[in-house]
Amino acid sequence: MLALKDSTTGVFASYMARFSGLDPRNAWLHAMRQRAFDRFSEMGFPHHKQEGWRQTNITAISQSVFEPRSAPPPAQLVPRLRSLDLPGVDWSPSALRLVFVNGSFAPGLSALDLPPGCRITPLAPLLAAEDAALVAHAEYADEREQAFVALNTAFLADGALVEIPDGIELAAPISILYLTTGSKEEKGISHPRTIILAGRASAVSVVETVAGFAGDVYLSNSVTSIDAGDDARVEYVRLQQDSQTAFHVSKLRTRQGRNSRVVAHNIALGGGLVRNNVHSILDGEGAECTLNGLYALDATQHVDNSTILDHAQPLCTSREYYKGVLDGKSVGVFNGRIIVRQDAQHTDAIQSNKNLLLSGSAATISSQPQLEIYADDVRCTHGATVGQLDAEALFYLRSRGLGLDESRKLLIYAFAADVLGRVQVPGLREALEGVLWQKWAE
Amino acid sequence: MLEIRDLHAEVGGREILRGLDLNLRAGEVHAIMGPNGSGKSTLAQVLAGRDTYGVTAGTVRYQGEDLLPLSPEDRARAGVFLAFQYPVEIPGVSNNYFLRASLNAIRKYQGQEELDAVDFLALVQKKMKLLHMDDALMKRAVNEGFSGGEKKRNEIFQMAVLEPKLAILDETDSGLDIDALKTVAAGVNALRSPDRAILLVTHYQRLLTYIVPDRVHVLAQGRIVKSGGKELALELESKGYQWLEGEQAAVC
Ligand SMILES: Nc1ncnc2c1ncn2[C@@H]1O[C@H](COP(=O)(O)OP(=O)(O)O)[C@@H](O)[C@H]1O
Ligand SMILES: [Mg+2]
Repeated sequence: MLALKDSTTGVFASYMARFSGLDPRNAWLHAMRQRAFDRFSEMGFPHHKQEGWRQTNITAISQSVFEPRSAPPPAQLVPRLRSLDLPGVDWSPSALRLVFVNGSFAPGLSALDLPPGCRITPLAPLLAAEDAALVAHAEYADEREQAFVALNTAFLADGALVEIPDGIELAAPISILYLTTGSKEEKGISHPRTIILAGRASAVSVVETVAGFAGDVYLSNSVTSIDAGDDARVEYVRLQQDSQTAFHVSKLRTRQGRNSRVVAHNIALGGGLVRNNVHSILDGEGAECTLNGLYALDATQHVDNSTILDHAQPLCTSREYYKGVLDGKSVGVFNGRIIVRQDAQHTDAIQSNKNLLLSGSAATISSQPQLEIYADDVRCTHGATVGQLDAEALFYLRSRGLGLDESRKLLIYAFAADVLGRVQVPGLREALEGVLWQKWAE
Repeated sequence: MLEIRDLHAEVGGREILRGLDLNLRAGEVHAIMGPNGSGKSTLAQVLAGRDTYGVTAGTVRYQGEDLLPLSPEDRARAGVFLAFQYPVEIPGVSNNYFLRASLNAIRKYQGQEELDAVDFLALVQKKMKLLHMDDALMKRAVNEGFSGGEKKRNEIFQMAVLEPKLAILDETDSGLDIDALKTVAAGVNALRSPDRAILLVTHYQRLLTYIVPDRVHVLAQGRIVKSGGKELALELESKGYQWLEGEQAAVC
């Protein structure tokens, strides 16, 4: 691969200029950013001949200049934001809500009625204060070799921290919105960063939405890490509603302690070119992790989900259910890797990836499981299917008076129903159903 | 109600129906019997509008109008109902949602007011009682995990709720034990009325002791080879379908 610093395009010069412009006065932060930027410069963007990137060509990202744009004035922004259908964002005044526009916290759009003992707060002041939680969690050794994570860390300036102390169970979900703007001529960029720290025996639900306005061109490059302490329960929903002309790359890293439960939903509705990386580490006996995904694609959307379920300790359970509905000329990629480490006896892992191709041969899906099992007493199963709408079922519905469109919609919806059914955040499942119903009504 | 003239239908380039004639008047119940593979289900599916089967010649008039140009949904909305030989499982769609959407699509087409959840529930409970069905069934996905008998009963339950003008029952009796058969027959008999017509497709005579038909037709090799009163069913039962193959030869 070509190291970026050797390239002659204006892309690296742009990142370099931006990086040089960052305030170096906070020595800790600056050193971390510098390490990350050096790694990014060294590695360059992944190339589609590289392992793990063969089905997703990102030259549109690696060969374009993306620069952060200033936030539109509130008088323009607020009505436009409200016109977006964002089921994951609770706009009520009493909600726990953090909104970021082009990477910066927008206090006027946010609401923080903080439950006692919890920290739900933008990162910028914590970075400035060299907060201990950030020192411990902003940089992970196992992510060093990932160019997009390095880029995110190199430009780390703001984001969200959700820190729930031991034993606290938060009933109300926390909503986080990252909005990015940009145009064809002036492509935007943001590097959302979310850090969720759930203490021992705590419980929390976080709904993170990444979104943009129709027609906007930008790259949102987000990194989310979840650390679930022993016996903690975390539900995390990532709603990807970027514009169809946007680029989106994400990394979700979860680490779990003993007997903790993490359910991470990944609902991809928008974005032109999307790559989601998930790395879930089951790092305490008896931990359970569910990765629940839905990608609903049309036109020329390309969405690549690459997930790793990493069983590092015995007696852990993982469930991975990803479903895709592909229309138009869209492309879906699913790579599901399960690693069972030598110590991880009695692992129970199930992976399933099911796809519905709506337009026959025009849409394509590539689905690949990858099992690496180093323990001997484990149960690991995987299955992938690709199908079309069942003609018999379609006829059955029509023969009862339901119109062709409604019958199709109902069957697509039914296909996705179990994925949506796993969403526990109150009211969110219904709101999501509404968004999907609209989408499939076309 | 239903007039079929010289109907020819093919599937995959093979002609299955070869000049079928049938006349079913309002208020009548007719049975169509015939050996396996004779084209009974093909006829039923063609009438419901399944596009797998191509109609190559002939006409079908329903309530005086040409039925064949109508989409399956418009046929249903106009009062045609097919109880499937093999009801389809639809995971993820509840019986409740499905049946209400169906009923309201039909009511809307016929210029009636749509039923709200409360009125719908009342109607459904009445019909469930008629068919000895368990309430829990409405929450379950359409036919998913139903036994063969439950699926057939669910078809008749749907019919009881939708109250079609023309009901076509494709081997609804197969896979039913005697008690279920009696329940299903009671459901069908409850629907008999001067302004409805019922076409019973069956392989066995058994159903016809509980739903007594006005006419019995024998279908063999794609056409009606013999028609008669209800006694014809008994005759078929004792003589077997071989007897018909002879008839068929005589017709050709
Ligand atoms: N979808 C189909 N594709 C191919 N052949 C079919 C199809 N449906 C029916 N047939 C054929 O048509 C003939 C009549 O079938 P069918 O109408 O189901 O008979 P019956 O219901 O009287 O047993 C059979 O030979 C069957 O194999
Ligand atoms: Mg049949």
